[in-house]
Amino acid sequence: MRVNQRIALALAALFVAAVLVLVAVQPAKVVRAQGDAETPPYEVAVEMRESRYIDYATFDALSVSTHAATENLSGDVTVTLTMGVRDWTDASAVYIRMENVAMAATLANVNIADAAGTFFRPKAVDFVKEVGTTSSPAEQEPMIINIWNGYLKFDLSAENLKVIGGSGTELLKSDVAVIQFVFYYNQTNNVNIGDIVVEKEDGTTFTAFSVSEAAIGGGANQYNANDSLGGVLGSTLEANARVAQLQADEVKSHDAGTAADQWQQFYGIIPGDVSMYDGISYYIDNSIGEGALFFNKCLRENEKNGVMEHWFVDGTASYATYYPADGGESYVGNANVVPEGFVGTIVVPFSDLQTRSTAPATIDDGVLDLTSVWTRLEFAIDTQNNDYPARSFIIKDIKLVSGAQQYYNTTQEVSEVGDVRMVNSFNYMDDYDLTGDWNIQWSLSAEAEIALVDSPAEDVVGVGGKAMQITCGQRTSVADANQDACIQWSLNSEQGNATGAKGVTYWIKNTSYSQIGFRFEFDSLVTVATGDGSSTQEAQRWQSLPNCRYMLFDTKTGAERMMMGKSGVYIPAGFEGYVRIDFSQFTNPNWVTVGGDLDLNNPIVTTYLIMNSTYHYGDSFIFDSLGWYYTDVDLTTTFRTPANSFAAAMNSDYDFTKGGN
Amino acid sequence: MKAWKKIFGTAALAALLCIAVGCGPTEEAGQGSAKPIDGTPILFDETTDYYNIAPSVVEEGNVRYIFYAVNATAGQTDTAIAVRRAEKSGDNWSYGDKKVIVQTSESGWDSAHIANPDVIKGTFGYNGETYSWLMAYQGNGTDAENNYSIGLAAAKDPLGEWVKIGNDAVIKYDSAGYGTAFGIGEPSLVSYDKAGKVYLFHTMGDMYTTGVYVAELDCTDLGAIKGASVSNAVTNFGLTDPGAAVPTFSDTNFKLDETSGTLYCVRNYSTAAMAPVLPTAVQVIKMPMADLYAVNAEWEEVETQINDLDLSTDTLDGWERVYSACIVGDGYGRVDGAEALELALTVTSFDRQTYEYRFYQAITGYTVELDG
Repeated sequence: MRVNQRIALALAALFVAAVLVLVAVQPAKVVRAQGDAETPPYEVAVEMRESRYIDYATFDALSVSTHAATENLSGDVTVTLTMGVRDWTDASAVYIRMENVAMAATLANVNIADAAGTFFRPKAVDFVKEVGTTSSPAEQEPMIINIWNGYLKFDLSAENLKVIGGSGTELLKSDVAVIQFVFYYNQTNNVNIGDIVVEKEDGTTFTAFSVSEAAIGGGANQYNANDSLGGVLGSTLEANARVAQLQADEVKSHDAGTAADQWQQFYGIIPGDVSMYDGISYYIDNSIGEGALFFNKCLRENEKNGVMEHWFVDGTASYATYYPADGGESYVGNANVVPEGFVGTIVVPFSDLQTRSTAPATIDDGVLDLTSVWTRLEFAIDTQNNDYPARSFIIKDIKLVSGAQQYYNTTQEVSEVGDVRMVNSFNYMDDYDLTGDWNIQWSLSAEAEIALVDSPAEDVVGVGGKAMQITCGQRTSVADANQDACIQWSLNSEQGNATGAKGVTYWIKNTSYSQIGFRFEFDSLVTVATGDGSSTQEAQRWQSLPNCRYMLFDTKTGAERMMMGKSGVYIPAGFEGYVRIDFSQFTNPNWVTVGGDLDLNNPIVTTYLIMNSTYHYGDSFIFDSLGWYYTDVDLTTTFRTPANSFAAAMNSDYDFTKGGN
Repeated sequence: MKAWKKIFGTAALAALLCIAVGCGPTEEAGQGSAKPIDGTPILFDETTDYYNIAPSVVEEGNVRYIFYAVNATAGQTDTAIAVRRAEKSGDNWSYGDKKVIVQTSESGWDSAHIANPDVIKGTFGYNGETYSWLMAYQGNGTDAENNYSIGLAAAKDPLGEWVKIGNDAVIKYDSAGYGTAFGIGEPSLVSYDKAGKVYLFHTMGDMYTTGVYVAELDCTDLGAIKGASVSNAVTNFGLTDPGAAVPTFSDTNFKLDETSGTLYCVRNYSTAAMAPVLPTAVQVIKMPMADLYAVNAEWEEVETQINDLDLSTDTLDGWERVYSACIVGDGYGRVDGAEALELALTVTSFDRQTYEYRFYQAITGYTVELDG
């Protein structure tokens, strides 16, 4: 289902009519953008926070992440930084740049060792935003770092440093050797460690350890790591922990080791009401890695009816505006796939978001409520998709913005032709507009291509203008995989109203040299009691019977024909005309758990055209004028022409106000 | 499931094609031994030099004509179409000698194989002549037993001379559009108006599935037949095949009881899992004729299956392979007011060692009583 058109239209109106419209229609719950936000365009920065199986840092950093394969694994990993500048004479404090990007607080201890081999542990830690400042130091052991981006500050006075090993009693400031960070395996840690700055008593500072100049090793300004299980960086250590070196704003995925690691995510903080924005903007540099990048985005509504409806910029049929950093002309590109080498800003409109719920075949209402969203915007890459091999890139300046190009998102108006309510006449502006509404369900194995074409029909009632051409893609080579290619369309409430209708109809031209067929399926949104007095809405799938009976009306020859399904609704080569499938010819697939008869008082929310690529790879047809028909028709044959023929129904003056006959 | 159904359906049809056109090793000509009888008596004697398959029986008063497929040459597999005339004597029909009336053409659409005749009466004009009998039969022009089409022949007398209509099939199978498969065959004619308009029921098997279709042909002028370009699917709702999600509806024969408005059909049912892989029974079903094109039309079983148990005698266990049957009707494909349906069925014995059956195929009869 698309973004609520009412919200999208309201945003478009705001953008065009500026202050006057804003004053007239601004909802009460709108959150103003930062700064002077009385007039659009609006934007709000998205602070990156939290990551899962992925390394992300806002500064040049060593990323330390642990995720023990065994829960509550005992042991720890120690990251040792050998100072680049060891003479800390007259040092009063040390500031360690640090950022916690884990989903929760992280545990650590920090040890400082001098050249004499004495190890010291600060008793109190202070969390500050800038070098040279003080906040509220407090004693902690072990140290707990909450979701934090700033500096750990340690007072280097003798009173604050506890000896934990070696024979010395005071830190030999003239020769400070290493600083160690100890993380425990009994939880997940993901921490970025940046430069280490020392402050002297006179207030001057110097950088004792520079990440950007560091390397693996034990020498000056170098780092290594090992764990209590005997692993070292670059070997078995990486089974439970990993240290990666990142430049500022770099995202780097972990190697995908298990299915759990396939999707690796990081999150940004957003307001709970994003209704004044209509897109996501970010600067991205995909030149530091290799290959194209598949970069998914997800927005979730707050829980409603027991469901947190997810909205993804999904698949490869969504579009965004690309603004190259070199000042080149902006252009339309893919909203998910960033080409290798691209550097610049990408703006992805919310209209590209598609719903997919937390459980299969379950959606909420298919309407994105931008006024109530989860305050995390999710970004994810698929680390097992070798078609898009990029695993590291730079991203920054992430924002929610208004004025994102909507790519027309033309809502198909419902019209009446004969006894048919046409719910999709394919009056789209271009391919972007079409593919923003009709989506290829990329989660199935076979692919398909869709394109907007001029309708080939001539003087045919209810057909004309534009139509959709569908070409079945190639089957996958994966053994036992689902070989279906699926094109789907989400209907709004008016389009999905089939109350009183007799069946589904569409116009089709088979441009292939052989018969082509597909299963026609749709979801009916059913209200299901949950047993605790409340209810939820679930999608009840219906598919055409394998041996369904359906009628064809050839709009070139005028011939009508009764057909039989062949595990699909099959159309002879060269045929062009209307198809009618009575609702009695639909049944539930065996995986459907929502019971009950088809109730047309429930809205139809999604339609699907599903082809088997094993038989139809490369086959193409043109599809148009999808609708619901409202009268029973009898077949016209050589021997009879009934009054209620297919042709007569298409040319009738049916009164929709009286309901189905 | 779909792939197996396709293979199974194709195999079953291919097996029947083997019956029609002959395949595999031939018997030595001139053997001349009597056909082995496993059950009910066959309608006419025939030696094992000849196979007799796919009957179509027309009754006119005390005379019957049986049209069927038979090899033209003893011991060979050159299938042709023959007719025998029978007169009633008491309760029995006594069939006369065979006469071959239609053979493969020298070239063209029916130059390789022909089979499965069905015949009705009417009034049909062609090249300035008026014919009162019309035959539909299947044929193909390649050695492979697939991609069949249906053509027509006409005669002034059931015993001939039969004139083939045109140089091409009237219901043509497009293998390019539908894949190499059985094609279109197993025709069954029912007169619409007892003149030149006919229903031509037929099987169509393509690369995906098999079903029964009906074309409405205006054959008043056989030189300009109307309606051949459109065939409508006949429903298979109400049919069940053991172990199959979707029934295989094929090899059918239709008759109409115009007084009750009932359309009767006999079809193949329940194919054997062991060699020879042929149907073990036929089934008789019915439907209101008015529902022929209804979306939700459904068949009702009249006789679920006619199998070896029904085709046994006091001393014989019964024919284990039963298929390609017809309902005996009048010249127009009618069984008006019938209280019972008489069937002619293809049956066969087979060699228990080699499962060879071709030249054992014969035709027997069976009567189905109709309720009320």
